Order: sequence, then structure tokens, then C-alpha cells
Amino acid sequence: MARASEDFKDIELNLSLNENLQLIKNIFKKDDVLRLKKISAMGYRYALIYMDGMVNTLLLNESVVKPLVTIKPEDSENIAKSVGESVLFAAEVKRTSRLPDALRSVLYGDTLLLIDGSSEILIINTKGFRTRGISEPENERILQGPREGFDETALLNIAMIRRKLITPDFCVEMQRIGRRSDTIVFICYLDSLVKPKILKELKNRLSKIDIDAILDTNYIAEQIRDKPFSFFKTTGSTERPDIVAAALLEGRIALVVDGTPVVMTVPYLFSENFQSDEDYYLNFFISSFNRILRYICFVLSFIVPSLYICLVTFNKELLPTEFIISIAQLRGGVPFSSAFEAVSLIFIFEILREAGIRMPQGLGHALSIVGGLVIGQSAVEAKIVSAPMLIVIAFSGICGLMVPRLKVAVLYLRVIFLALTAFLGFFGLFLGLSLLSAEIFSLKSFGNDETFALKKLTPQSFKDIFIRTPWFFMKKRPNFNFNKTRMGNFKTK
Amino acid sequence: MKRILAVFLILLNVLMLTGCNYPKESNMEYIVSALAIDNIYGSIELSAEIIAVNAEQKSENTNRIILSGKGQNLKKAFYELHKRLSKPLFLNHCATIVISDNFKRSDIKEILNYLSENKDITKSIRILSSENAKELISLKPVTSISMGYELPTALSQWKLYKENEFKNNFFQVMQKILEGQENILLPHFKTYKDGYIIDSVFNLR
Repeated sequence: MARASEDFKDIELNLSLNENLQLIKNIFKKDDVLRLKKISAMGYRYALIYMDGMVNTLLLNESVVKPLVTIKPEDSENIAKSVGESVLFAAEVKRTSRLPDALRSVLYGDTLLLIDGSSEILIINTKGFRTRGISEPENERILQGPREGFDETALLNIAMIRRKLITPDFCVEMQRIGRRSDTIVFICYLDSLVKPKILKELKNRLSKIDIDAILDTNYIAEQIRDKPFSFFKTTGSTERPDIVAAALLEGRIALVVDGTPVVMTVPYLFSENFQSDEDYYLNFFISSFNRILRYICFVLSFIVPSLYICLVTFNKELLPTEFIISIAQLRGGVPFSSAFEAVSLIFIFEILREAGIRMPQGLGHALSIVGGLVIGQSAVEAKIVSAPMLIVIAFSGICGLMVPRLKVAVLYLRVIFLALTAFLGFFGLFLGLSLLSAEIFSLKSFGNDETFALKKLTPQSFKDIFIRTPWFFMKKRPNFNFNKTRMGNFKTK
Repeated sequence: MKRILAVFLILLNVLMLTGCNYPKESNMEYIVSALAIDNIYGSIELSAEIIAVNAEQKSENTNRIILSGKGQNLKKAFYELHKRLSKPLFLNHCATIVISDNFKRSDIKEILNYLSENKDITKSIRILSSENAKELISLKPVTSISMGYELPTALSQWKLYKENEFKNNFFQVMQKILEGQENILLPHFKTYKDGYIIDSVFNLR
């Protein structure tokens, strides 16, 4: 049974239009969307084949049908070449005698022109499918700066990146991945900045992917990650062209996948989790403050519930007397242990968060009010949970939302740290922190150390990690870069 | 696999060497604010001022309970006291130990030695003396939620007035005892018309 276009590579086209047509009809015999139009004009017989809904019919009529019925090809010996070069008005026409190429093109919105007496097929670019259009990405909103976001069309996305990097140094290489989807994947980079070793490694990993279909960037990301089972990201993803352009300017490689607005960037640094594109569009004082806040909130998001458990169940002597009395009073009547309370509330919080995301926007707000206020208040009054624990989990949840790129890590770390401290107290907490540090410091992205700058501890390496220094201090690109100098000396006059 | 096994063994060893506390919820223990130790005809009466936590009450209305246990020594007194309680005592927040002034120095040394072995007794806890220790902690506090927290505050106030500082926390007293110092001074409280005064200094000779 046929699976992909490439499966027809051994079939050869012949000179008879009817036989070639029959061949293609047989291939698409169960596809009712395929359209076929026969034209007889100027003593020649043609057939147009295209997929309904994927072509621009106006363009097809004006640049293909109209010329065919009005212009006679000059060279009857090499009819396909003559039609392609001197009859058709289309901007892009390719000739092929390979059936797989023709099939792939017609499935991607091109029109095939078959000519009686020629074993070549003309592939005419008449793509005209509707796209969502450029809009601001929902999950990467900013207050100041460019607001355009990627679309599901890879070529449009490439154009958006190219508009920001008007240089011939910008390279785009195409690959096809997916046995059935045959998805187009573009590898983009700046030739003078990319590290050849990383580029080679990426291509090598992509070549090893053997999957039915690529419907999103994550299908690829999960298969080419350095640590497939780590909670932490080792590949970047964004829907914003400005972020991709900035990544390319730091020597990274972008992977634009057709059919998704999410673009992957590699290699990835751990500090990127705490960076926002807005950091570079706002004053560096506020950007630095926000970034420090994100680091603090990341730690607080998983440490606060476990620290609370340690303090109220293992080491109560560390708390002020008034505070421990107050907690004992507020906990009075709650039948569950603090650890069980915390885990239950985390699950409820995650359920509410997930439900809120999937709901329509208006309903999502109502859900958060009902979930957060009504259920929370009622649970405290019914002595199912204690008020301090509700505050702790809510605070930890809000802190987790500050670092959306680490939301998966935060969720799991919160539960793991809770489990460790529920059994081992402060020992468990420090054990967890030690293991977490070991995990973070061993992260690698395409062979590149994700936390190199943190280990190196030089002033230059810190300039864009914990704070965002002014541009005139950031003269060098990140360490993995081939060409490190980013800018010349800053001159005010 | 080898690495996982190595990490597991290291953790197991560390755990076995370190041990860990048994977790106790804050509402599942009695918070003790003061201990009073009296000598009644040769036997020891241990009284504890317990902050009774009631979920229905606001913190300013916290109740106090004074419970006692008697025994030939402090260990037995503690045992007798525990028998009367439904929850364990939480001594970490105990701020004051009042010792009756009719103990002999050797008895007090023995009591303090026993208490020093209890890891829940904070070493910064204040040690005071009184004619009747239980009576002192049974008084109604004026400025604090319990006498255990009020007495050290009163002592600090007295120190400011008299410009005289007692080195009377648990650690300092034990240090003096171990060094064999002759005079160990403790502030002496006396009950007076439903209140208390710091009337003199008790010398542990």
C-alpha cells in the first residue's frame, strides 16, 4: 500500500496524456478533492490537475488557462519547455519527469500541467490556501515592542524573519520530515555566526527522525533533545519573529516547521528561561529588576510549600511563637496532614489552571473566580484545608506563573520537593536542592553547556543572565558563538 | 544504572547516619510557654503552662491551662504530667522555667542536667526563681498571652530600671554550674496581690 510520494519513484511517465492521467487518477482514486480540467487548444491537448481549496483559482485562470487557450507553443519538439517558458504567465514553473515530485507539489497547492506528447509534467506555483494571518501571540504578550507573531505558513514565517535580518548572510535550508505528512522544515541561521559543529549536529539529529507526521515543532524537539527525560527545556520555542531574529544574531539556529507558528531555536541556555523579549525593549533598570524577580519567583514557586511543611511539622521552633500559635489555631479541625493538604491543593490549582486555559476567555475568568475565591473560602470554612496552606499554595502558584517557560519543571519540582520534605524535613529540602543543582548544571543543548556562564563566573558572562545590562556593555555574544564580537566600542560623540 | 545505584547507596547511608525528625502537626501538640518546678516535701511537682489552641477563637483570646505532675524526680514528674494529656507537649517555644527557691543547689543541678538532655528545651530559655513556682505561672498575665512570655519581658524591663543584667538563660546557668562558680544569681519573683514583683536575687550556693 502506498504511503508517501516517494513510494512512486519507480513509476515512469510516458508520452500519452490519457495514460498519465489515468495513472494519477488511480493514485488519487479515493480523493474527491482532486480536480482535473482538460483543455484542447491550438492543436494541443493539456490537462490541469490541482487540489480544490489549495490553489488561487483567479491566478490559475489568468496565468495558466488563459495563455494556454490563446497562445500557441512555438517549439513542438520540446513542448513542455516551450509551454513553461513562452506560454504560461505564472511566476514559478518547474519541469519534472519524477512522479514523486509532481505528487508532492500538487498536494502542497501547486497545479500540474500534463501535455499530450510529453513525458514531463509542469509544476506551476498557484498556491492560494487561506492563512490565519499575522497576529500577536496569545502566550507571549508584551507591553512594548513589536507585536507580530508567526503564522502556520512556514514561508510567511521565513519572510517575517528575513524582514528583520536584511542580509545575504541569512541562510535557509529546507528538509522534509514525516513519512506521511512530508512536512517542510526550514533550518535558518546566519552563516557567519553559526557554529558549524552545532549545525552539523542538528542536521544529523533531524536525519534520524523517522515518524509518520510532524504536526508541530514539539514533535521534533522531543526527538532531538539532549536529555529527553529532563524537566528542563534544552530547545527554545517562540512564536515571535523578533525573538528568532535575536536568537539568530547570537549564532543560534532556528527551525521553522510548516503548519505551526512555533519556531524552535537551538542551542538553548538555561538563562533563556528567565528572559523575556520585552527585557530588551524596556529600560534596563526595570528589565533587570523583572529578571531578578523571575529568578526569585522560580525558586519560591517550588520551595515555599516544602519550606512551609518543614517549618510547621518538623522545625516549629524556628517560627516565632505568635506565628506557630496562629497556625495551630487556623489548622485546628483540619483532619489531614499538612503535606497531604499541600499536595491536594497543588492538584486543585493545576486543575483550575488547565480548565481556565481550555475555556473560552470569558468563562475562564469566571472559572478562576469560582475556583479561587468560592472553593478556596468554602474549603477553609469547612475545615478541609487550612487558610495558611491555601495562601502558601496560591502564592507558590502565582510565582510559578512568572516563569512560563519552566512551568513543567515547576509543577514537578513542587511535588518532588513536597514529597522529600514531608518525609525528611529540612534534610529532604537540602537533598532536593542538591539534586536540582546537579541536574541544572549538567544540562546540555546540542553538546553546549547550558549553564556555562554560571560556572565561569566572569563579569562578561553575567551581563545578560541575572540582570540585563545596557546594550553598550554587551559587546560579546554568548559563549557557544563562532564570532563573539557583537558590537564595537560605544561612542557618545 | 550504576550511577543511580551509587546515588541511592550514598543517600541511604546519609539518611541512616542523619536520621530525621518525626513530623508533628502544630495543632496536634500542646504548646508549653512555661514550666514551674516545685519541691513539695521532697518530691518534685512539675507544672506546665499550656497555651490551649482553639480553632474557634481569635489569637487574643487564647486560653491557658496549668497542668501538673508529681514524682520522685523530674523524669517521673514529666511522665505523670504526660499521662494527663491527650497530646504530646511541645517544649520548643517554652520561654521560662521557674524553679522554687527551696531546692538545694545539688537538686537544681540535677534538674538542669536532666533538662539539658531534652533537645526540645531551647538553650536561651530564661530560668527564674520564686517561692512558689506554680503559683507564679498560674497568675493571670497582663501584657502577654501567657506568663511564660510575660515574665522575661518583665525581667528585661526591670533590668533597664535597675541597670543590672542577669545572666540567667539556660546556657549561661549551665556554663556557670559546669565551671563550678560559687555564686549563681537568679532573679527572684514573688506573688503579690494577684500580681508579681521582682523582690530579690536568689543565689544558687
